[in-house]
Amino acid sequence: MKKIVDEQLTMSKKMLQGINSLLAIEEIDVDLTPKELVYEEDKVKLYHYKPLVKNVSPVPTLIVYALVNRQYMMDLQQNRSVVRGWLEQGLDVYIVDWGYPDKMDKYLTMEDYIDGYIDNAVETVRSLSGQDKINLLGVCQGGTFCAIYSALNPEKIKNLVTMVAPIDFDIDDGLLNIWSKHLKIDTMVDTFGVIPGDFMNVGFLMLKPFQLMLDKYMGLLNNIDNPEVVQDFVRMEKWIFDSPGQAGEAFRKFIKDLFQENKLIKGEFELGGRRVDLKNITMPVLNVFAEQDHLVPPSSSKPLNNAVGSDDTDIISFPGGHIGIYVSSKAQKEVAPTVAKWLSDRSQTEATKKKQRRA
Amino acid sequence: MDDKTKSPVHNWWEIQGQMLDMWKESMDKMKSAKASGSTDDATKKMMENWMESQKNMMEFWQKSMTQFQPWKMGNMFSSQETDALRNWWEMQQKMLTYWQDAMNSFQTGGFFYPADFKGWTMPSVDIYQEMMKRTTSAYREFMKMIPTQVGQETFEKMSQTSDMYKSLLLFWESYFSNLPGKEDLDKWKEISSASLQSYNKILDEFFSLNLPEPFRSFMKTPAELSGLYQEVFINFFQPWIDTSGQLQAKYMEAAKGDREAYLDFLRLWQEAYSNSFGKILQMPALGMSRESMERVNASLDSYMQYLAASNKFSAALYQSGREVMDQMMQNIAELAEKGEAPETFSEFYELWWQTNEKAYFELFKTESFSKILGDAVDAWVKFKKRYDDLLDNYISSNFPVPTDKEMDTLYKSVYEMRKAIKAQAKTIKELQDTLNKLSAKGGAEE
Repeated sequence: MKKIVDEQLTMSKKMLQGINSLLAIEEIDVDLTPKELVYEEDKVKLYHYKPLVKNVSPVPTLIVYALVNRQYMMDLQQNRSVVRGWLEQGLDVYIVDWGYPDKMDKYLTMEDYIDGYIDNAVETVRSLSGQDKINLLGVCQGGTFCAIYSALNPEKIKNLVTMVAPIDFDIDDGLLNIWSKHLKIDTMVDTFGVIPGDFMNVGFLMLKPFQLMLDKYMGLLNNIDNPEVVQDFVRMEKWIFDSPGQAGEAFRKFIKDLFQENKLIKGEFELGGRRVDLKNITMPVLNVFAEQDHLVPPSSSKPLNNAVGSDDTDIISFPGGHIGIYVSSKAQKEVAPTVAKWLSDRSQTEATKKKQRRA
Repeated sequence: MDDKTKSPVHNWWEIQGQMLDMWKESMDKMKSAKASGSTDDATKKMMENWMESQKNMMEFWQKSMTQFQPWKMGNMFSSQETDALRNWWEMQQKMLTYWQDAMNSFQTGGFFYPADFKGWTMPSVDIYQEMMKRTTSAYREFMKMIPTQVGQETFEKMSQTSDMYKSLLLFWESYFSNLPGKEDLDKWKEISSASLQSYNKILDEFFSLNLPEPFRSFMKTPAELSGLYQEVFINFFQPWIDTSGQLQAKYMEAAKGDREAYLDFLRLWQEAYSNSFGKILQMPALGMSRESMERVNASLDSYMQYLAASNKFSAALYQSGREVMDQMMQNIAELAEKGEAPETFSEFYELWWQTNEKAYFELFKTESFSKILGDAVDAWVKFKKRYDDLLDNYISSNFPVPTDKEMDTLYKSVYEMRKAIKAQAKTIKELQDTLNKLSAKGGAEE
């Protein structure tokens, strides 16, 4: 009995410490790297980050994040910001913020997202930078969208980077892929209109229930007297549960055509009446995946390189999970510089090439 | 009396006295701040002090608890010690009264009152468990003052996790702290069957842990669902069963032209309806049309389908959980044989969650589980759809507000208009660009 009482009292003391630690957090600071709103359409916003160095790459890079969760994961905290890392490496960075779809947006389709919002963002960046071609960098589902966009509009894209992006959906080591086969998506979309973010979160928690619903919080309790750990934890927690709903029609097509029928890699996927042929991706491609990704396993990302028509393709993996490769301190030292260097090497314009030749 | 000659009870008593003074002081401060309703920095500072005193109190308590153990008491039932114990108990009661007084302002439910103690007969472990339970509940109320929403939610989840951890600890303490040798098969069987029965409670707690509210019902135990299922049937059909005889009689009289009997029949029908469907759906004036009845029936049917599907889903989860524990107990028996069984609770906890995680991953990736999950989600979504239909119907009949269905027409129109406007704007821009180019060349060409 003494053991139990001791353990309970220790736990209660930690809870008290937890109150103190959490009381000390007044604001959760995320998304702090300075940026400017340059385009807005419905709930979608396009931001341009302010350069942090003098010599900025002439070809801008547009980041397209997934519709699931929020894009500020790329700029979660100042000492672990991938965006900041890219700016410091001289990239000229733009990012799409999808906003929070509500019932008004239930009829938005994948065509609206890719042919509409992404195309308009690309056009805006082209116009503002004066470049005919820009770099497109897609993260997770955003990577799938960018691959589709690049296949349909290769003339507008100089380089394509996909990060932890699902391309082949017919894999047997991803639980989301396995579960989605039995998802009755029509009933779901017809009922909800906009699929609630909470619903998506429950699915993600179920992937690793003991770690994500229990041990993670035990870990916090054990480190509750460390303000830095608490601050980082709460920041990540804010991001994880800051989950926008999914516009029903777009979600229906994404699940049906990709998760259930795997049409993209088979060359059968259609968008707005046009067939998407990945062989049309003739620009240089960098495919980045996370070795321990349980949401988009490597087996889903890797096949892109063989499916595209480009003869300049690279594939790089980093140790870590789906999010870990962006937010871990190790990732900051490796992921951001590697991607920045790859893009910089391929972001020479004709003018700069001539200048270099003359020099 | 110097420290050496003091008995453990006297030491305990003195510590309690100090604790009580400190406690009372902090409570008085807390209450005055609460009464003034101030939320400025001074209050925050004061709250932090209160937290600090809480921590100190916990430390004192722990210290005194360690001293106040039967095996350390020696001749505790001498008259001197009995008086001391009586004083100690009075002191405890005072402290609990203060505690109750203070904590009541922070929690919604009733408080654990000293009179709830069943005197000396209540095992002290229960007292402390109860105390901790109540304290945690008070903390949760207190946490509503935390400035950030995420901070509050994090604490809530951490607090639920700590409850779960404590449950697992109690389980461990009951069944695993004194493991028998591997050869003692009877003892192992006894442990195995007893522990697996109470292990269901642990699984209950785990599967509703930190999930958003609407999804918790998914994780209820099959037993609970089956109880719910019966309850639903009784609630729904009992009023019809009760009135069926009278309804029949009145109907026959009405058929012979008795207007009063007909009104009685309608009244009985309405009552039975209100006490069953109407009561459950909170729709006292749903009407008696066939359409409405069909809607209600469809909703009821989808609810039953949902219960059945989620029952199957929960059963799969619980079965796996129990199998894992069974397997773990066998592994522990083998490890015990080699002298390598987990000795501490934290070792057991690590082994427990990691073994479970692996086992559930294996379950989750099977085709059969995937189908069960798909069916459960589908049944839940269908039930929601039927329920929404009923609400829509009720709202449109009774309130001057547009329903979701009506709003859908508007959403669709807005979506289509937006699309058309965007396409037109694009065309206008292209025409404008062409015009500008032509103007730059010196005029339109024929």
